[in-house]
Amino acid sequence: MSLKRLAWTTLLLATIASMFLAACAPATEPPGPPKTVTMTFFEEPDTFNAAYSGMWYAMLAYNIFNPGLWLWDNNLEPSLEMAAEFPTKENGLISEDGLTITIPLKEEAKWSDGEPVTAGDFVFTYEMILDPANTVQSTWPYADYLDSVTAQDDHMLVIKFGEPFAPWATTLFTFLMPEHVLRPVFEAEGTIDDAEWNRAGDVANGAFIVREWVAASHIILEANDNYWRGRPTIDEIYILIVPDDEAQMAAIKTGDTDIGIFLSYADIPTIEALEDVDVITVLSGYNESWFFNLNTDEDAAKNGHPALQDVRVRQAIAYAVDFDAICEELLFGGTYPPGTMWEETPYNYPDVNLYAYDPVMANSLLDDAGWVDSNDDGTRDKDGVELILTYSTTAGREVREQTQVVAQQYLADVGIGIEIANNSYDTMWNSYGDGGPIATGNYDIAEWSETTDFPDPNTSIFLCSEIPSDDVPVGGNWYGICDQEMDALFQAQALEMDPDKRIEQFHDIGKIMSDNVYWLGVWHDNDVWTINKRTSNIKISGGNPFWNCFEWDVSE
Amino acid sequence: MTRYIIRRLLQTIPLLLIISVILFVLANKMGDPLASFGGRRRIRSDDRERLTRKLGLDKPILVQYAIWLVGNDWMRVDIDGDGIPDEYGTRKGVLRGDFGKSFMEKRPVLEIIRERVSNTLILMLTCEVVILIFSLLIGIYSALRQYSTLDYVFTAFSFIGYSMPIFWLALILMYIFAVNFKQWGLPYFPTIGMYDLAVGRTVGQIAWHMVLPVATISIMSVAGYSRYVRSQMLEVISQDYIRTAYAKGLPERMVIMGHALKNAALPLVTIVGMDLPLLLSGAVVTESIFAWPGMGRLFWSAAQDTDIPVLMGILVIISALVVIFQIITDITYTFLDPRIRYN
Repeated sequence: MSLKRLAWTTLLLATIASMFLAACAPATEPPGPPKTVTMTFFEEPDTFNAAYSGMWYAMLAYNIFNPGLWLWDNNLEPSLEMAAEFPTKENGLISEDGLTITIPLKEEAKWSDGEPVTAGDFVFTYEMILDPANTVQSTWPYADYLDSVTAQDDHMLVIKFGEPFAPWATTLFTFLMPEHVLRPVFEAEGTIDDAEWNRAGDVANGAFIVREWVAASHIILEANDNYWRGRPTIDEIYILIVPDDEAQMAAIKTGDTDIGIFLSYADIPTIEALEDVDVITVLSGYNESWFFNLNTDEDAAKNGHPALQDVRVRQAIAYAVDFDAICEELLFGGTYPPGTMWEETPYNYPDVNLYAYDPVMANSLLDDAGWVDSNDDGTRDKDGVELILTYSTTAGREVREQTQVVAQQYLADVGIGIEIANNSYDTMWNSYGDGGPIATGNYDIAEWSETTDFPDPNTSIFLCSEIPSDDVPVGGNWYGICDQEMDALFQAQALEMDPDKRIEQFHDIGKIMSDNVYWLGVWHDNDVWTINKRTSNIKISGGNPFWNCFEWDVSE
Repeated sequence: MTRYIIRRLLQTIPLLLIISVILFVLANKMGDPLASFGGRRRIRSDDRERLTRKLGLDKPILVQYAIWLVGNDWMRVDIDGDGIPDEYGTRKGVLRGDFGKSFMEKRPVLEIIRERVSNTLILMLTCEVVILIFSLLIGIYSALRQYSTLDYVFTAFSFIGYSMPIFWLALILMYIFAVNFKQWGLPYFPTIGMYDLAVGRTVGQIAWHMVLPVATISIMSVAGYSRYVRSQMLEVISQDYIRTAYAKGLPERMVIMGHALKNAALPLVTIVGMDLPLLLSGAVVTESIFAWPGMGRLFWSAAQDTDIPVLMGILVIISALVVIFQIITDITYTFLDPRIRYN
């Protein structure tokens, strides 16, 4: 065969092979004219079994087809799903001592294959989470706080706690496993790690069922005829996996997606100029935060700059940076600096000191603290130590890096030097035991977006017992903050079952945190969404964004 | 020749083992596999401890490598964290075809790779065909019509094409031919995905969705390859045997295609030979921007999540293919140039 013929034959075969590969792949049956809502996910869910995932996008997906007891609506109130009633002390479903919660289940709730949803499914879910043979993502709080989960009857669930556990409503049974599907797998294999249901989602108790999941491409969900509210208004939901912000923006502009998720504040002006698209911001509990290294460890390498131990220096830092201007200029006025970590919720301390930009006050506080520029090098110093702080955040996030540069300038104006030392996001949050840069104290100021057990206000990252060390290598209090009064309040709120008292406790916590500048809010980090105007009735919630997908509609 | 091939194949065994050790150590140093497990939240301390043990990340790196290579179904492992080995492991190891399970997706690595390979081959084979056709056409034309207007135009566009960052080119194409075309009321190309879900996975849909990603990858490569072809052709067509061929009265087409191109193609064969195994690795940037569910995206997401089993699976397969295709390339030389002989 001549070279020419060989070359052309090769080209021809390659073309045919590529077309053949395209044609041989599993075909999708062309549907009729269904009512469809399309959305884009930046990340692909890692599994459909919620027990195996901590991924936010997986939560978005399983809320649609696999809700638990209730979802949190756009007012952050519980929207009942499998539960027939929300337990309170007033309705008698929470015992006086707060140690027993009884939850009646909806008798009409069914799995999509017609099997009833029972209390047995919840008990099974509890057992599977705790079984060491299963590699679930988290056993919290089931292993830590629950004594037992039992079925009083098919539709009455009883949860007993070892001690009162205030965040129960946002953390327990946010999903459910179908016992009739998974128990045979568990009995046969000794684990449900490899159960087909984990990736199929084809037996669902939510408004939709997963019809197709093509890895890295898309997920198609179709209406569940057996949903307890009845068939949802739309027929299908398409989830497109689009791992690029610009590509998502292009899809929003062309109308290839109806719902755009997790956009940046910088995109808001562009989106607002689009005729067919609404932009909304949703309270998600996240706040871009500054944390200070206040460790006072025997190992000096773990400790932050000594100046940070003085509350006046921390207050001076808060006064020295114009966070309002940062929000206005870098985030296009789309947000503002939060006063506490519980901004926009009832737990936010209303009289918090917002530390409005005041460089005169900053200079005064630094002078009072004894940090002066004694050697005329432009940076304050004390006892021969220059006031130069190491400022870390995740590398590559443009708005954070811009914030660093702006803050560096503001702080330089009051004589505080800043050295920027950033980390990749996959190493930034490594544990102390794994040598994580923040956990081991290699910073003075660190910045990232932090939340609580939202919508519950609970968090453990300021507990004294969570300060990492060789004995506690996985501790989460990387800031070394151990304020006894605040610690007692954090511990008490986690046990407090009276909502009003808990609000008061958080107001006290907020005051301590603010007065001592243990934490500083850079911007209130609400989530930015876009919704195409051809859709209607989409009410995004910061708790469970797609809580009302059963009543979404579209007009063509 | 047979002995040469067998010897080369045997040499690949220690080579691949050394490569796998280096890759395994590097992959383990990339970051914390558990960093992504908490999603937007930090993973809780107890869960971190438990998952570290369950995924075998608490073991020394050499033990982890040994388990990756030969499995752990011959040793008892501690399931419940009490320090006492409970039962035999389930891993068979790479040598027995078990690349392990993805940390993120919790399913076999080979299954994940298999799903993506066909999508990548569809895209990359098409690109390779487009690249070869246009590189040869442009390269040959530029060489035969050296310093003509079109040669200058091709040269200019080659430099521009070669200099453009691929992400920028991809976004420009997407905005012009999708976003702007739609705004101007023209038929527009799709921005994302392999096909319209409402229509289904048809050849037509895939071809339509492939236009922009193929154009993105091809423009870059054609720009480079056409320069290789041009320079090789220029060198070859000034050789004595080409003059002899013309003197014999052969038509130009036969001289160029039958004599000049055959010799000028040798360097191109080398480049294509190196490219072919890399086709499987896909195009990281282009696949990400156009949401093409291929190997490039898989590699990128695995690297971001430090999903060591997936990373190792991709890298070891690509390494093996690179080594094998190098052998194939060397053998191909003997067909293209009869003077080359291996002992």
